[in-house]
Amino acid sequence: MRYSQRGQARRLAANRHLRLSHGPGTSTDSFAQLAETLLRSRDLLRAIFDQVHDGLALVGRDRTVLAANLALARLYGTTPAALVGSVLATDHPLGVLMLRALAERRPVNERRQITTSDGQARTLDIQLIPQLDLNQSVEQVVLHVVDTTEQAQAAALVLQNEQLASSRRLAGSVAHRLNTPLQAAQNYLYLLDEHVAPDERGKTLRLVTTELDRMAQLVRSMLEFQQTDGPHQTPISVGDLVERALLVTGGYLQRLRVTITCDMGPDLPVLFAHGDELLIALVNLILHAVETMADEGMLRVAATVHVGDDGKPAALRLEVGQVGARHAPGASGRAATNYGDGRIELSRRIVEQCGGALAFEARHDGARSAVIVLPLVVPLPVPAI
Amino acid sequence: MSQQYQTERPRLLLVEDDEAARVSLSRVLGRVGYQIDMVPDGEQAIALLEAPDQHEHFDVVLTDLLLHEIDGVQVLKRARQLPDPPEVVLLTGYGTLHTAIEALRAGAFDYLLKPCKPEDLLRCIGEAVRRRNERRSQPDGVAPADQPQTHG
Repeated sequence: MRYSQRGQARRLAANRHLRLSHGPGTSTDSFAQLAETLLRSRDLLRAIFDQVHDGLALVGRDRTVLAANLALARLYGTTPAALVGSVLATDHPLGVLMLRALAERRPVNERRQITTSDGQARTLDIQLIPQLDLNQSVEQVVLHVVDTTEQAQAAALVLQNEQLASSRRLAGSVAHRLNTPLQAAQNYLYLLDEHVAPDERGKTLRLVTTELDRMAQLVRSMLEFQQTDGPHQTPISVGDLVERALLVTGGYLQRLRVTITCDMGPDLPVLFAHGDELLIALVNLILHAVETMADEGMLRVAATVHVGDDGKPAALRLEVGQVGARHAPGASGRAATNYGDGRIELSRRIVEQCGGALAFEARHDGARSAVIVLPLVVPLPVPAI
Repeated sequence: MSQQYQTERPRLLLVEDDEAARVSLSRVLGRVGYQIDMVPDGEQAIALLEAPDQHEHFDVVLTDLLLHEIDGVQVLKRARQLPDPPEVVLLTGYGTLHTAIEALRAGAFDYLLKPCKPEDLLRCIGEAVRRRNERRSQPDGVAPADQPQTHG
């Protein structure tokens, strides 16, 4: 039988180990056979070890990695051979966990986020299981790592959907409760208007009617939002979206003599999002901006494309806010309220459902703008390592 | 009560579980001369419609879609089974096309979304009364086909 130089060295090492174990007097042939069997068994175990999907390693009490499988090595962008012999540093999360396992002499668990060598964020469930000797001292520690990225993403998505469903139920409940008094108020206003001379009182009534119309429109929007079956993304033009939002709020803005500045960047892309829900979010943000604004203020709606590191359009930035920090103390009834906060929360959830984010930024002129950032690329599931 | 039925004023049955909405609707409709009977639920509406001395006198039923036990669509279906059925207009907060189609398929004259403008309500009820009168004037009791439209 011919062996490679490395194979021969392994066999000699195994042979020596067996001699030491069994003492002198055993024949050389027997040792060679035993060594061969031992190596075959070890190779078989190695193959099985590497087939395991979870990351596995055996670590000595001095924190030296004694063995590691392929799955664990791949998570850290290396090979099992490179991991063997390395020492878990005490400032490394695994090293810290190892110290805990050694001190507590019982299994310890932790969930960790890591970034793999190819830049992917992964969520790992790490378990260290100390192996105790007869004296209850830690002899070795088994490191067991499970990549739970997909499960964590799925759980986050379920939670997000539950939150959205909850907000839909809330919106529906609020809308239904609002509907009846709205109907009654509309009817009474209609009756009152019939009896009033067309002077100041009639003018006031018409203003109230306009407000009621606006509330009725919002109620309908909320009902439609409640009745949406679920996430249904369609391509929508950013220009159309902004135009529709300004159309919905146009009457209200006109009555408050709010000037609208639209700053739409060139070559705006088509978004892939929940169009009707995004419209509600944008309308809410416009109304929120106007609520704290003085009469005859200026509202700015801007859309720009954020270019990624690769030079390609990566995200759309939609900004809604007033120009200049002019808050009139006499802006009666339009101060920020809990209702306004609810609208912001609803908008935030819609935007997040579309894979984006909503934030508020202070502008250089002291005004505060709502900023929606939406991805232009439909996120794909992260491939498993 | 029996004297009311002999007048020329159209007679409406208003089915609405919310008192404030019920009263305000009756005032709007009453101002233009309709006779209004009001009930707060579907059971009473059906009882009134199916009472032997009453059903033929209702021209229009205006009913909320969402009622506690018997809903507006059920009221509509029972009303349509009467020998001389009144026109039925549904009033609802559920502005879904699905519900509207269900109601129109079941024979509703029209469908109003809550909150609807009183002007729209009056126009809709006025058209329903006109169709009812046209139907009555036909020898076989069938009105010319009108395409219902949704108001509100």
